[in-house]
Amino acid sequence: MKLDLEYFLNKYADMVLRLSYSYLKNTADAQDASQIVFTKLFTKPKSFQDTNHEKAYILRITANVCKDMLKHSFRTRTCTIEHLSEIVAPENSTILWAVNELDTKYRIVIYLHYYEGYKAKEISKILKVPTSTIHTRLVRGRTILKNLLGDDEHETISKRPIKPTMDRTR
Amino acid sequence: MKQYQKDLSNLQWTEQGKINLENRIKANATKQQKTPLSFAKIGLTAVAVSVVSVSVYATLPISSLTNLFLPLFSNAHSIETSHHEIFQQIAQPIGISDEIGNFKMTTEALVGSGTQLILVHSLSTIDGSPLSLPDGVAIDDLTFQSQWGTSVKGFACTRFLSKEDFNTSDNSIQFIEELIFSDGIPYGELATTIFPDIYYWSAEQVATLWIEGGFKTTYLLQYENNSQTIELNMTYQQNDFHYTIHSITISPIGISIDYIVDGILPNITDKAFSSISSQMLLSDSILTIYKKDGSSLMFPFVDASARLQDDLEADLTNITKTFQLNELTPLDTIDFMMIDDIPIYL
Repeated sequence: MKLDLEYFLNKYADMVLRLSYSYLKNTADAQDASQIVFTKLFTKPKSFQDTNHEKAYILRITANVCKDMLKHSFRTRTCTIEHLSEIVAPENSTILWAVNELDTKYRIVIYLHYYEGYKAKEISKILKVPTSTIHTRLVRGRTILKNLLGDDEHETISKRPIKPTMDRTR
Repeated sequence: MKQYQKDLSNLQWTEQGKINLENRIKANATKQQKTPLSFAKIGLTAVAVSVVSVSVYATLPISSLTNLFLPLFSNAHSIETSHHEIFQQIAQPIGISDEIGNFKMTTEALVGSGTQLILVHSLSTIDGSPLSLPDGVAIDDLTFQSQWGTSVKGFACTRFLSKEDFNTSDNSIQFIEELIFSDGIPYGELATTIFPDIYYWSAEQVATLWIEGGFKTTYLLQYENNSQTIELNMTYQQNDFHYTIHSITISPIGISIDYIVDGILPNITDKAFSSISSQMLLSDSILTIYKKDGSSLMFPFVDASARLQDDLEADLTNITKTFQLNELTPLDTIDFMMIDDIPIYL
């Protein structure tokens, strides 16, 4: 079975980059993580039941790669001068700074819930963590964010998440 | 969280970036299919010893050590006489093993210079049967769930581990460990390598136990240190910061730059941390080595490991940045270097 790498990159490269950034908190390591994730997919192709399964699987591989990198004090090595211009990095952002201040376990559920639009039960399956723990992490993560950002952000954080631009039902 | 979604959406690959990424992945996949060298062929037969023994070093032919380590320097395409001379100075055969059931982990050899070491460990079977990973598991899927690696008492270090199968037809796989010590050169010290229970990521991406028990080897570090330190005391101003490059230490496998920068790195919770640390650590800078043969090597500072030491009284930070070279680069082959557009003459 051969993987259509171009299709996967066009569809998931930005998602993998953003989740990696959420774990690793810097764009250079996130680029390296992305390369490892897609190399795994390319060298060990897998058949998927549907698009949801495909996306959830890639999110799990990305999470595992990033956890390995954090655990092993991974040092980026593959970045060259050309690599630096391969991505558009976010500008200085108060909210990204605040989310990056959160502990990894809160940061990732915030990303999966508020950015990718997953429900706690779905996040539980992706991260292999009980649903109740995901609920707790969402609540605590939001509380810490409120403290970091002040009252102005309170209302915004309390609202239901906006469905992401990516259509997960296809 | 609209603002979060909006700001994070700005992080994305450029179209050219995706094309480059695709090319790199395909190139890497092709590279992985090649069959490089065999440990058996080059005579690095593991010597089984007890866990705490200190090695009696094998007298391997230098050409074998060259064959072993040269592929780790990706820019080295062919073996030259000078490579043998360099490895004669910096390589140390070890050959210490630990066994669990039918599995054996052997610390084969190292190359070291100054504070940098590269160690090759190989996992094989004792009875010579094929080392079979569980169905559908690739070498990159192997993982550890607790502390792994080599340590030397009293010497802190950063570690990097990669997993390779140097010869897909033999019964071993390799763990390549890179270490950068921050508390001096550990020459003559006892090193201990621990590989705990080995897990793999299953198809469902669940960490699953493969080899239970853990391996431990202990051996003396006796490589020759042929790094050279050049005192520079060169100062320059960039953006809002004043830098003094105190010295550069060069070895064939790495370069360390010691510099001092005004100010103390703010606490990580400080909003300015990211931008200030980026400037103090020269994260956007590039080190370029211009060689006498007209070629050049480029290294982004963001790739280098960093060690920071605050001087609160003087309001200064001492920083050591260490680069792992991807090409054997003896000092006498270097013409000059540049940090961005600042030339450094040796």
